[in-house]
Amino acid sequence: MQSTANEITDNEILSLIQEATSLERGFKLLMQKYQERLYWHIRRMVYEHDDANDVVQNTLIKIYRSIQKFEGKSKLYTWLYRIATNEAITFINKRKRKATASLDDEESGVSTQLAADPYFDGDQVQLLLQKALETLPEKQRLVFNMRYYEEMPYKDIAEILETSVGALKASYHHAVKKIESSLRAADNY
Amino acid sequence: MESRKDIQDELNELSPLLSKLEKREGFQVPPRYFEKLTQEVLHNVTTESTPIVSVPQWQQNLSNIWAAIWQPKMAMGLATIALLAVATTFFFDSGTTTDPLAELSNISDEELDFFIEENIDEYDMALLADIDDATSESALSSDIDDDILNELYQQTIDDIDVLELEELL
Repeated sequence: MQSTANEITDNEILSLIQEATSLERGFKLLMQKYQERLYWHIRRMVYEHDDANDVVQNTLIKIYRSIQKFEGKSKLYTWLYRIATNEAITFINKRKRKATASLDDEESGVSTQLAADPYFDGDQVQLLLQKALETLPEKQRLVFNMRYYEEMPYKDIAEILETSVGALKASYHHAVKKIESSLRAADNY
Repeated sequence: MESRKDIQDELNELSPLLSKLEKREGFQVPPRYFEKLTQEVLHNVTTESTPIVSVPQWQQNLSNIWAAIWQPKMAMGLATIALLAVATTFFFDSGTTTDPLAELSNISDEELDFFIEENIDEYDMALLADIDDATSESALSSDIDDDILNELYQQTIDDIDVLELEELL
């Protein structure tokens, strides 16, 4: 009997991927196990579904191309997250450059886009939270998302962002305080 | 290893307000999106995977070097070197080029006559007259015997018609 993606261990997936005959099956299991987490991680960064779809596809293709070089020095999922994070940041930077070139106000556009996004059905509080998140520097936003929404240990976030646990704690604390202030300033609390 | 409770306790300590909020984001995806995503990505990678895996290392190195050559700095450097090489070759070659007068001395009198006969009509008469004057002056300054000159004048005078002389006067 074949194991399902959630039952199979990372080592088993990697063993399948190392063999040319089982590469496709191994990669399919890897996607089934991790693609949803990667998608939500990217979606929180880029906001819109269509953009997240493009970025997650590029991420998975990059993973496929380089998975055989994975040396196992870090956890598989933190390695996957690192690729997804880099892809998302690259996408955001390109979008910013485009917005600058066309004189659009990218920052104010995101919350407007969210309100008009057919794949966003958040209430007033969620919209306020997303607006507050927009105001954070990119790294603080990443740290906040991974800690608050994904409840990731600092050690894993440190592996993904290649930084120290101390720096991450400081970033998270700053982010939480700023978001709380933004929510209070909106007069809802 | 931190547990979910540790993470929640930390948030509660930092911001009781945020810790009480429901962690729902409001983002949605189209129906059966993740099933389709798996199929789409698998289709993309399997149709393009073979050449990516099978490229030998030496080809990758070669393509890296080729790509590096076309980087602006490298390309400018190579272009400068090429330009200097061409300029150097031209400079040294120009010293060894053959003298055009020496080349002319190799042409036989028959060939020269033939060339002049063929092309005489193309020359401006005024230009020919100038050349004639110049050569005449240089010829006069050279050591031509007076007897020969006198004979030449006599012949010229004999050739001119008396009527023409009257017209000129």
